[in-house]
Amino acid sequence: MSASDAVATGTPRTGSPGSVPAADLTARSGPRAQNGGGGRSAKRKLTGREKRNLRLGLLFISPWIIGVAVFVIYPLIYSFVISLTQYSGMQTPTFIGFQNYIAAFADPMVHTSVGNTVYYMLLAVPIGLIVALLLAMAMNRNVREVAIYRTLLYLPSLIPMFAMSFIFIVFVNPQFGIVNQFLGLFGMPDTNLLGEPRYAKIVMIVMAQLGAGNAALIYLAGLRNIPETLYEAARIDGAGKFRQFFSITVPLLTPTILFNLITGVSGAMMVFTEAFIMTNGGPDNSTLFYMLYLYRNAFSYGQLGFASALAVLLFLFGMVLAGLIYWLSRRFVNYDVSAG
Amino acid sequence: MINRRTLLRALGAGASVTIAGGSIVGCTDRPVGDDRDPDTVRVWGVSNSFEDTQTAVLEAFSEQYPEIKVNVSVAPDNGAGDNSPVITAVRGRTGPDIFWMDRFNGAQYASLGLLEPIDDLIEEYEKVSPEEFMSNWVKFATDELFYDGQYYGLPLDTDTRALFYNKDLAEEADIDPDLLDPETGPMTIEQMWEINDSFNIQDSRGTYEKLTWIPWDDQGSLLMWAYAYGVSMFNNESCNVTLDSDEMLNVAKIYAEWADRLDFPRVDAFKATYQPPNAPPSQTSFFSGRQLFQISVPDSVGSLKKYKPDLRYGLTHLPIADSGGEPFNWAGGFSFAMPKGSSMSKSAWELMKFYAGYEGQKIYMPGIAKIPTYVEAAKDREAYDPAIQFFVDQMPYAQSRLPLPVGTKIWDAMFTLQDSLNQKSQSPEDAVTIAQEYVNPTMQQFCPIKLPEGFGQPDPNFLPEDADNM
Repeated sequence: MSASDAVATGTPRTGSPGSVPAADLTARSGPRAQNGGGGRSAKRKLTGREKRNLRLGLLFISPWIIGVAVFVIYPLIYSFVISLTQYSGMQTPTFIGFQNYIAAFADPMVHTSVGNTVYYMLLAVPIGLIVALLLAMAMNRNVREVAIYRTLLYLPSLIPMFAMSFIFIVFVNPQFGIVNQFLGLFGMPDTNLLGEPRYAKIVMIVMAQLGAGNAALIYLAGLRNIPETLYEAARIDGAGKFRQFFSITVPLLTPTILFNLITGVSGAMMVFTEAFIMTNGGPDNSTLFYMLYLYRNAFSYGQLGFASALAVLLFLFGMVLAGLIYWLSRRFVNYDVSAG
Repeated sequence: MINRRTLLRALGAGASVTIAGGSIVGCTDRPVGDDRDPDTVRVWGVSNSFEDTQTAVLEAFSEQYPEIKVNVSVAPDNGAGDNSPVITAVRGRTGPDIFWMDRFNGAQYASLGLLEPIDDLIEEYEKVSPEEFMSNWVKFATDELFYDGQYYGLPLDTDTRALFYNKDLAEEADIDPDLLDPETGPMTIEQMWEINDSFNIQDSRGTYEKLTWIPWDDQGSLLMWAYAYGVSMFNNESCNVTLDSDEMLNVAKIYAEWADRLDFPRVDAFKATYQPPNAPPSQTSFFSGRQLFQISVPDSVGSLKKYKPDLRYGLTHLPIADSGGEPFNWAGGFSFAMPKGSSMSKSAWELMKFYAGYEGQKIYMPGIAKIPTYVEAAKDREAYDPAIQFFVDQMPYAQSRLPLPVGTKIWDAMFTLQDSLNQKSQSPEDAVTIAQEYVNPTMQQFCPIKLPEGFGQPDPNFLPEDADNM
């Protein structure tokens, strides 16, 4: 099988949304047919054993059900409820309808923070995907000391973001910082990168790449999942390294790319720590990210209702974005390796 | 497709989850208020660096009140207007009985419902009116703890601002010593610029090696210069914040010229080099002899003693707008307050009163280089570090920040305004409008309210003519 064949086998399934293979349809209708003719009315009753299994199963997963209910669903609903009120966290909430939402859309600082966050997301996520992929490929080299490389490349990801922020402040010291020394080689004058609105976000985007090790590990798992035989076949057919990369590695890695894309986007939407520590939103609000502004409203201004409205809007935006990515993913994600 | 039954089921599930979650979350029986042991006082005390001094105060208290048990813990500092530690603790019913609070947050916390008023305690245990009792403390400090007709805490320390100067650099710059002598009154801002123009040293790449002064450095800020030019930021009659007044616009324009004159990015690079963000307190451009003047608080006297004892420095008035004018100053500081859920017991009251009273302040202040707010202590030279005498002498000219529920928002708006002038991202006209629009709509949620009676007026205990006798 040639490299192009390997890719081609994936195309029918990943083609247009409507092109589900006939075999799948048959497989889906199978069990219903067995249960007596399909249709919603014909529900089969559970046997005693099945009921017991269900109870036991639920019991086993109950810590997670309770955890999700208490720490995710309850706060989610509660946030929505208080987003409809004026609430300081202490006094009785006053119901004000959708006024917080209206205020959020009108608040220029919300616009600034959304702009900053989207800017960060548009740069940090794609760069992060590429850096992590490069790291993963370096981790995947077939050499004896690979374990050492993997450890070294992953090591920066173990440093918590707040500690990394303090380290980075030293890195970008205008005169002594390693980053500034390097930029100085190209004639850049002594500049406080964190004090310039143009550069402060860029510093944070670059800093985020030091955490690329996590995404790289997931890529690594994806890379190791690609059968070596495909590369062998490609080599026999005369495909070069680049051709192999773009025609085998990238297409078969798309499920992993999708995963890293979604976690990257959700992480970027919640960027907070570095701005909180390094710049506190400055200079000139250029690193005032959405979460930082939300936090400020909740805990500095005591406007918990407004902050909750911001949280709900972020949640909705995240959902829409995730939906959009999934919809787009049907056009480019190839599940051949995992399916096969 | 979602039909009616599915929708109802989903709603039912949602409601059960909310109720179940709510009951688990709300199902805590930690005692609050009267249910707490009245003879044990939980204190969220001062930050780490002041802990030794605090221990001395509490030991003195325990000697007088052996029956009262004091549990002290150090809570994260909330000075930056971040209320999260206390809000979460109070909601989780683990809040303290009394806590150390930046007075600047007083009116705001009170308006949020985070604090308990202390008027009833004063009447019950001191048998005097709250006004009479609170007159034992400096007026501007109690003003910060007054909201909507009630008091919400007792003031602890205060600080004023002074212009520190490096004597070696002053000699190098050949400054007339009379100009720096506080006896001859404050310098004008224009005189500062004259020194600046002859002293600053830049290397061949234009990077500053030595600087005269930075109007936005340390305690210098647009907010402070607004005080220097006598700008009022709140209209008591209309209950409006007035950050876009003509006076403020004027200061914004002057400030923008300063940022331009010093070339803000170059000064920023200078500061980030010699005093990067989060640098240890020992690492400042003033301590390292690269900056002639610095506007700072009494703490810096303590820091200089600790980290740079050989630096020859002097203190003088803050520079003023017009020659021959009175000095100006502003003061902040901390307090003790009772959050919601406090036992509000007699023991808690006694501890708070002792700590913030004459005895407590006399033990506490000398160790931390701060000014007492208890009038008797502020007039007792043994009740504070003699090295900060100059700051104590500034008390007649000091005023506090506005005790309003939007205090933090005004603070943030002023620093955003300052930032946009530094970065030239907005014109002064647009920048003041943005600041006003940021704060005033929130202010309206709390209207009508008025500032405390006589706010901003000189304290009868500290009149300018008394300054020499202090």
